[in-house]
Amino acid sequence: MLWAFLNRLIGSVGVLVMVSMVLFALVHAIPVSPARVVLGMDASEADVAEFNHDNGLDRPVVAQYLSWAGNALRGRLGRSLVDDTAISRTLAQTLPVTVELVLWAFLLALAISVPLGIVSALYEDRWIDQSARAIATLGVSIPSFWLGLMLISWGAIQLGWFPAGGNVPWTDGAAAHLRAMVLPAMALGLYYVAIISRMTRSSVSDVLLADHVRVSRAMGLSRSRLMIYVLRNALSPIVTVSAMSFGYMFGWALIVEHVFNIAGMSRALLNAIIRRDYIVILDIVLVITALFLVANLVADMLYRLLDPRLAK
Amino acid sequence: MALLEIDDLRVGFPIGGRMVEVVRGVSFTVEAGEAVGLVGESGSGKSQTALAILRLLRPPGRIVGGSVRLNGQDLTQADEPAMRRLRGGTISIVFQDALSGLNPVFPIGVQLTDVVRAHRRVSARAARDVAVETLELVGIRNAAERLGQYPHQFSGGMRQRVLIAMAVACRPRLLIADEPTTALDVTVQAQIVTLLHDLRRRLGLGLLFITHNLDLMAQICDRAIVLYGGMVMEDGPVGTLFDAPKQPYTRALVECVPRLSDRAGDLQPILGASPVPGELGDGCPFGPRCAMRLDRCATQRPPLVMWEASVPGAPDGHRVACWNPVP
Amino acid sequence: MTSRLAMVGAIARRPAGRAGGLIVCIVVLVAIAAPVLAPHDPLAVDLGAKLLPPSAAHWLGTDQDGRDILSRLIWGARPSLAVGLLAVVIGTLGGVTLGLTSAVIRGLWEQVAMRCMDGLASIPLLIWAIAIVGIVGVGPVQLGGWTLPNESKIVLLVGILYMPPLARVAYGAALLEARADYVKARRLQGAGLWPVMLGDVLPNSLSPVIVQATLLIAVGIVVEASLSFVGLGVEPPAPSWGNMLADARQFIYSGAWWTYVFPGLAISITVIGFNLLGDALRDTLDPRKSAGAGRLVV
Repeated sequence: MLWAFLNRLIGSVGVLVMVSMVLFALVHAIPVSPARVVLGMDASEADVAEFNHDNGLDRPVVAQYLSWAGNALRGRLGRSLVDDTAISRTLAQTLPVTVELVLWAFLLALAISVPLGIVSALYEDRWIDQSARAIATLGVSIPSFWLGLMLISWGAIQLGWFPAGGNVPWTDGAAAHLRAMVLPAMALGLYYVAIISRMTRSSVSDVLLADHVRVSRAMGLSRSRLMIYVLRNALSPIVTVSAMSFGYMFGWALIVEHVFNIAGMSRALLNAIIRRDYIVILDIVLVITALFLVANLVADMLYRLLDPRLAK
Repeated sequence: MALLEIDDLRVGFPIGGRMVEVVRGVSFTVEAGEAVGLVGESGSGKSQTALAILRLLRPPGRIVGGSVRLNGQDLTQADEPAMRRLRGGTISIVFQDALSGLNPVFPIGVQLTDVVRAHRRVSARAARDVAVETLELVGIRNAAERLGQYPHQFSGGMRQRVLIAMAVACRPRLLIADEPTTALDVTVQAQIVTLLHDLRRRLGLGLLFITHNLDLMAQICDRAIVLYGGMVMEDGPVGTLFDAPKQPYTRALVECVPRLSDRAGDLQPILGASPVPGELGDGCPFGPRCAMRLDRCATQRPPLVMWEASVPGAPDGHRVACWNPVP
Repeated sequence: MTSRLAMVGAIARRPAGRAGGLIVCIVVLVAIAAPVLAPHDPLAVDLGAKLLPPSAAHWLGTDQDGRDILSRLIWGARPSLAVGLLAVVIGTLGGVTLGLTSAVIRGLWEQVAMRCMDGLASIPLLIWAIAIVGIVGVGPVQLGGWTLPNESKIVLLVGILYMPPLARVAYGAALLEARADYVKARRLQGAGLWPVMLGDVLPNSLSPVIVQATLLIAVGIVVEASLSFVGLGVEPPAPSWGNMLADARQFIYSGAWWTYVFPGLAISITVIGFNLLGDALRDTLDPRKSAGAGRLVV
């Protein structure tokens, strides 16, 4: 088990390094240099040279990469080339916001999908199953940002039950904060409700047909005990898909944050993109990548833990 | 009163608007402590009969007629909670899926004790003791240590033993074994049959042994019922069935089993194909393949009649369903 | 040939397949016929007709610059479908080539190709897309003396990002086919590697690829719309369903519902169409796969 974990960990680190190299290379491959972005297209050669020298941009690319990487590993993510704020400070402010949004969306999605999937499997082809299937098709087709807009239009503007966006920090009260999370969590989560509920349904369906379930029935086990047996067997694929979904949510969270004006990583990232603040873009993307890789690692490990045949 | 009395049992599947019967009026009994074989090819309805007894038919299949009496109580009328009490407690079944019959994510100890506690109000410790005792009964050594192990840590034959242990843990009156050895190696097959024989003796179990393997059945059963096309063809002591079968199908079955003493070229297959449920006419299902068929065999179904009323070892005597029995 | 017709027939028999197929055909036709179909010039600004609700003159109303929403919607089908379809074509060509060759040739090539695909798939498509567009910049890209138009840039990017899932599917299917007895028999008879690969393994591996490709078209439409929505995709004033929604965002407060409901509906209905079609294809071609798994790509 430990070996498997280390194996995967090294793989994940490898991916992180690879992505950082690709993006770093890309930054240095584009024609417009950071100097010109900051100083303006009309800046003189001398000013550009001075800027480059001050910021270490006149060294060879590999040297720049190594120095950036070295700093990053020590937690010094550098400073924005545009407004000179420390990137780690930006991340410290925005990362928790994004992570919290994803967590709420994930929990909401799980709370709806798993029971829905189980009931759909138990009552195959009845109305609950048909409805769940319809919801799943819709959920997977409606873009989350449009869903967000529509939710704001109904929930916030017409009904007035929820705020239309923006950050409501915990210090303003738990209830207010949670109310502000509802619509964004729904917008982000619906897609994954569709996916997880379908996976749950098919996993439970498959298990219900298994030989060992027939044996358990033949042994006269009670319905509740039988359910426990079935669910425990159906768990693996559901957990895997859920953990992976958690990782993928970080991508869509950026879009949903933008819709709801939430000051999470998306705002920092999108601002950085507009301002051509390359190091910020790089750092934020890598942090998101790291989060995604951790989610996948957890998915992998949970899968191994759940199957006694693998957990040697 | 017999332990198990099956009377004109009919099991069918609704397909395309009509009811296709796979068990078409089967009647037989099993006495307490008796070992009865249920023999037939695939599609003869033997497994469906077994599932029907325990009301474990997979929907949309269902019992469409007849009765199944256990100690006088008609199981076809029992409700589901009553059936749950009986399954694993009074009647048990062992299937052929030894490799996949155990739940892979729970230790066998848990699966065993769950069966015990489903039928007896005992403490966890007492259930555990019963589990260990039963595992030892079926020949698994170091039972106490192995309780925490998972099915994948057991070989195929051992897994079947565990399944048998689960089935007999609550000392049922009747054990139905549905092709318990088909998925196992030949050497292991003999061991399992010996085990069943042993258990029967020690626990006083009634046994309904379902198989298509005549020799295996003969090693353990006193009496056998031959099924074909969802009907009972012949029902009598094993010895008589082998030595002096009256039904042409029974004779053909016995003759097509290869023996070491056979010479090359002596194999006697039964020509023709197995009947397809739903496409059987009104006559005898074996008619199309029978060397001794008469005209009336195609249109009239032969009733199951007593051939010899009392034969030693077969309280029910020897019954045959045939218009033209073997002389 | 008959099996392909049989396939189409099987899909047409399913209500989901019919509905999906119908929607897809309509959207494709609308996109193709845009110049003829659109009642107004999508770029024509008319400041006197700002934010008019749906009426006889403007069936779906006008936006904040007085442009006809219906016309913009019709023209907006083009970038969405372009990204959806073209990206999938690129992804399929590249992915199937890599997957197929890896499964048949095996060895070092297999390791290298599949590891590259794994690397590309190791982070979500959307994040790659945002990162790369973010760094390379919005708008056309200058490569030496050569300009890559904005839309082409996005199509190329998504197309490359589609290669891993399609390569995986092609690889898996081809591995199974390559092990089949009939392939071994053909090779024993002396048939060359390439004829067997293209003539036998490829056609039989295509079913799951087709299913995945159709579902990816749906994904591509949403990705394009999302990128355009945050300003990384099609640049205004050219209409894209995504950037129409970006413009309309401010109007959820002022009640001009037609500006944001219709573009969103267009996206949703189109995507539903492709998803239904993909589901029907999967039920026909590859019934054992679970319904949720194929979509966890983005």
